[in-house]
Amino acid sequence: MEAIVEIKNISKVYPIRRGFRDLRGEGGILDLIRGRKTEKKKVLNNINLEIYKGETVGIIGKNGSGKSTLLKIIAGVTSPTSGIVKVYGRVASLLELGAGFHPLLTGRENIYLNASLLGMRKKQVDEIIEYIIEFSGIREFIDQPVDTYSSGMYVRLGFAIASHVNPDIFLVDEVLAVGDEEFQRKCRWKIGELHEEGKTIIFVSHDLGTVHALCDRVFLLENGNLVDRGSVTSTINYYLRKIGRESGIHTLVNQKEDFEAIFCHGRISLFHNKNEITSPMGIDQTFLYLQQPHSSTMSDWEIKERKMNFIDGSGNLFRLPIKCNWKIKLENNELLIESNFELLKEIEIQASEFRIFLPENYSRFFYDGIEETFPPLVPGDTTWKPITIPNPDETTTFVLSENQNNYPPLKIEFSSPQFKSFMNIGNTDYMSRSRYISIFTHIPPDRNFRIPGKIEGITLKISITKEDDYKLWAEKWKSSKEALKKILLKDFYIKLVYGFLEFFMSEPEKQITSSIHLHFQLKCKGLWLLSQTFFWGAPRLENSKWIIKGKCPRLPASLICEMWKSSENTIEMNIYLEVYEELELEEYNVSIALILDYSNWETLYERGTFSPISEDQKEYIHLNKNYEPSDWIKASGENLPNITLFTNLHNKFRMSPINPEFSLRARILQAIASPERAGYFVFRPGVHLLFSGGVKLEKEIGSDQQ
Amino acid sequence: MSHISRKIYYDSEAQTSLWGLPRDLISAREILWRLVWREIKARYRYAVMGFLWAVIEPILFMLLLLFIFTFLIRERNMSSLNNLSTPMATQILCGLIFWQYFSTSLISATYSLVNHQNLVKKLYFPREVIPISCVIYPILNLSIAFIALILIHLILGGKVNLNIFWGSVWLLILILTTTGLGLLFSIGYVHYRDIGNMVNFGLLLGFYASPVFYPLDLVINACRNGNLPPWSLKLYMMNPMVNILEGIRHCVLSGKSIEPHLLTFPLLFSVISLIVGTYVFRKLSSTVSDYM
Repeated sequence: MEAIVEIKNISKVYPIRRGFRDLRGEGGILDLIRGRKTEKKKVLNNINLEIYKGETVGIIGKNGSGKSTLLKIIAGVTSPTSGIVKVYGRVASLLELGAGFHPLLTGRENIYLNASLLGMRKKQVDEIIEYIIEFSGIREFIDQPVDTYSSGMYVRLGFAIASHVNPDIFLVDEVLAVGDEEFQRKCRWKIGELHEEGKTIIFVSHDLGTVHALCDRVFLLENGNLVDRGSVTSTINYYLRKIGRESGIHTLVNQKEDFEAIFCHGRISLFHNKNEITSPMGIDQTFLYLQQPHSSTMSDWEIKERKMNFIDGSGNLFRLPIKCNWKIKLENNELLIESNFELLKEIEIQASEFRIFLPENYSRFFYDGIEETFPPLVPGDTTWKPITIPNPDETTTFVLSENQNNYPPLKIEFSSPQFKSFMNIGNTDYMSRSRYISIFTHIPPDRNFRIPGKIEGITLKISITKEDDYKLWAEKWKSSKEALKKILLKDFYIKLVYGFLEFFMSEPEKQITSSIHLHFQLKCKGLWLLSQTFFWGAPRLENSKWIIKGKCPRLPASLICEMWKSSENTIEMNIYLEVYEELELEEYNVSIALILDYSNWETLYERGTFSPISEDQKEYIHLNKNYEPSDWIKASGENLPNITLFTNLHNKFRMSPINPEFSLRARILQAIASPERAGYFVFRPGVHLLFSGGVKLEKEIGSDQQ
Repeated sequence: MSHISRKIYYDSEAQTSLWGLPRDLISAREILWRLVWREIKARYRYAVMGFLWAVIEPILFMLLLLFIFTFLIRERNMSSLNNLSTPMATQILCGLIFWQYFSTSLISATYSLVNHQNLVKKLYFPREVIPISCVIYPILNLSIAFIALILIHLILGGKVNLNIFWGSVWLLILILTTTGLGLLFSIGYVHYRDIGNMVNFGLLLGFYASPVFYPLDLVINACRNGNLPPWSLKLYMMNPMVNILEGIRHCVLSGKSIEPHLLTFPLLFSVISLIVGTYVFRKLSSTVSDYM
């Protein structure tokens, strides 16, 4: 293989410039006469490097370590003091977008000028100029002088030229740090594309995450010397360790030395047996302000206390008046991050989010009772894709890989004392190629959380476990949750599903409610709210009563539902409404949707049959004629248990048998509460009983006999 | 995988060697051309009168000088002006346009590297093209003004013969001298900004110490009359522009053939300045971005 860039024994010494003594400080004419020598700066020291065609090579190092100088030498902008550089290909720099634009020339003239500076002939430019104009998207302005352009148009034209001149070698110097989000994304995409095209890319950056993601080989420049540790990961690790003791970077190790965490300017990377188990983006925290995320990596960090396995640090965000405080502790197989943050000025933060990025190798996860595999990351992924529905009561997740020696199962837990937080799990875009688990904390738009002061954050625990531990845990999880979600009667059982109750006959197993099952509806300002649309928490079991609570969408109220088994085949319930601000309701009801096989209904006043529902029926049809309040309604059908909806609140509810719209495929029994005269139910802040009653099930005698 | 097919685009060794220059210049001809065009376009795009300024400016200057010398300073030495073969106006104009070419080119070449630092600091290309482009683009102005000069010369009753083409030899010498000095000063200016002040002052001095608005005979006569010491003439003749301007006048206005005694010194000077300028430039240009 032939090198496209050959660097042999190069050294670079920057001379100190002579000038007027008072202004320059040294090297004035008097120094020259006296023969006083000034010090010289050696930036690169005897560097040998060969770069091959099609490689993406990263150069990392501290500020002033000579990265940019090396890049300049490769670009031919400056030449080395000693040694030889040979470049066998045209070089273009993705950073110098619009370098050499003349403000008075038109866009088109500047394209020719710039392309010729990048080494193209006029004829070649003639061929591609249309593509450049098309790509830049500023065709209307192309014959205007560029000093009339906005800075955005300027950069777009520059980028269009740089990406079309088709050089063999691209130099990228911190390009991802400039420009807006959109532009950075475009740059990353372009770099990926160039890589696929087999172009040679030389990449200089502070952002180790990006370097890790993009580069085939990485070199570290250390005081002008080139350090190559073989693989990308080991060079980066070496670098992190090397500069670890300096400000903002710290390595935490457990006693057995098989679990390490490296904290680097607001980003934590985890290592298991020296192998990185987080993806290069590691773990960070972002704050959402005006819909823009601000990362803890964009902060100035100060470590207040450090030990082998503990650090206490705080970082001031560059762009927001926020100080985030992390206490990180590593013990045995557990990493514990306690976080909080301080608002330094009045500012309204919308949310805070902890993000954990894991490599592609993690392929499965367990969350909220479901074990699922991550979808594969494909080049078409340009956006981040969440793949779970967050459940605010689920605070634990497991992630698993196929290669458990290198990527052990991880258990990720959090607790959020002050606010509701929930977990999101998903895939990042293809460029970042990671799985993410984020813990999203919504901060309510409340004055208390706007004024300067401390705000409690979450505590995050990440532990390395074993597959067996995971299995045990999952079993336990399932059985405990199942118990909570199922109410067993003698001949029936009831499943608590998000927002409604499903009724089943246990022997023979048969579902007797359908589609929307037992549910609750309330009407406010002409709007019907179904219990399924509420934000329900997980059920609790207290004194053999199941309690679930759900927040109403749009209304300042919550429903609290209390259920218990009152006799062998009867379930009773109290439904309360917790109101935070005065609320007016027009109507509410408790309904039970039965399967279509139910044919007869009976109330206190009359009885009848459910007529067939025609396919074009779009509305609810009440089948009874007497609308007086009563205490119960009953339905029966052949080979079906009798089911009775009853209330303990005397003369408060009207009981109606209903044929609903065809698509529901159900018969409905409904207990309707409506105000006595045309008016509202007015609820003052506090807890109010809305419904008390239940469902009685009777196994039909006929079927019993069979 | 043959070595022959591999084109080398950049070699740090070839950068400082004088022998790499022709190859570099050939590869960069497109850039040179674009830079020249860029200067010309940027200069005249928003000027209402456009290229007319190339004519108006020297003519107004000439009129000003003519006014000063015919009305304000009526001195006895001026008597020698009266028996000139061609009118004072064309004499001055001829001196002016070539001097202006020289001074514009030299100033813009001197400052060119620093003015183009956004290119120099970011892109690789043979640095020579920058000062050279500054020597080339004023030729356009010069040509326009030259045509105007010939017209005025004919209108005022002068004659033009084929010897006018010897003028191109003088022009070549002028361009070479300017290029050599431009290369030298531009690289010098990057290292020591003092050079800028020196060039400015030098050109101001040169304007008076060259036969721009007076004929060479005036100085020679002054020495003969004893108004000036004889060594001062020798010093005066050290200025290559003296011979160049005088030689051009002779060819263009008086229709004389090329005169070897005038030619020798400027030719030598131009070749030496070109060699020295190129050598120094070549040695220092590859690290020029370190000084910006």
